Amino acid sequence: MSQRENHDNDGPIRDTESDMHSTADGSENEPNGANADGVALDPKIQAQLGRVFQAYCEDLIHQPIPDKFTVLLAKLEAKQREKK
Amino acid sequence: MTEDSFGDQIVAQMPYLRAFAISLCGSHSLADDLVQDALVKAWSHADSFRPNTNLRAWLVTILRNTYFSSYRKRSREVQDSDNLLAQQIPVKGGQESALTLADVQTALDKLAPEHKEILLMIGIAELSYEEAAEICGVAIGTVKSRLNRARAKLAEHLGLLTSSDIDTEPTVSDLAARRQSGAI
Repeated sequence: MSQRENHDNDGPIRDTESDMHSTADGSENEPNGANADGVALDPKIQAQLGRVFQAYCEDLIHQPIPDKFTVLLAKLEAKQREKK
Repeated sequence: MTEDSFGDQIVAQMPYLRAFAISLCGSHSLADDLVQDALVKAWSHADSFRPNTNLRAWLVTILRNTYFSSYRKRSREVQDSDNLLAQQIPVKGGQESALTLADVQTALDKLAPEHKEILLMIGIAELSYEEAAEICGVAIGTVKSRLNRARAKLAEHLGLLTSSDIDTEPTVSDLAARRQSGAI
């Protein structure tokens, strides 16, 4: 296993991860009782809400897509092919 | 040619994109205009899509920005009467079947826009917290706290407080509701 990470090169650590946004301290601290509404819901209500919201989402996701969108996408694609 | 074209890949995302738009606008007709605008934009900026990243997140970004720049105002004015949301279709949620899709939409529309959009990105578009954070330009911690607030408020607006809940200790949203109505 000679292919280890370059820990042995004791240079400064400057891997690409440093450009990941620092989120640890960046959280929004909204004034006025930040936790007042942020506290977890009562499990019973949470479960009810989960079922209701899930059903709502699924209903929307399963609605048929109007033909006009496939037509539009086909047109856009054809236009692009012409350009080439 | 076995690989899906860009267009094919977009078609595969349409159900999520349109559902997100409908929920955001609260109106089918407005949502369809929004989706159409977003698709044209997406196509003309196709170069900015980085391959091997989440196409759905990229499309949601375009749609969301289009919404806030030119649709949000209109969505507050439009009242759709010819769409599913206006119909009294019961939500298949078990005991809460008295609730309709329109009830859920009405409750969603009462949320602060920055809370609502996070809820929809996670719930409908099924994006990750990281993706939602990037789209909204906020920290992941903010996404989580907005999501919590959105859920608590949604439960409150939906009136998810049964009498059996009130028999037990009052919940946070219970208290919040009472506070709002001036009882505390």
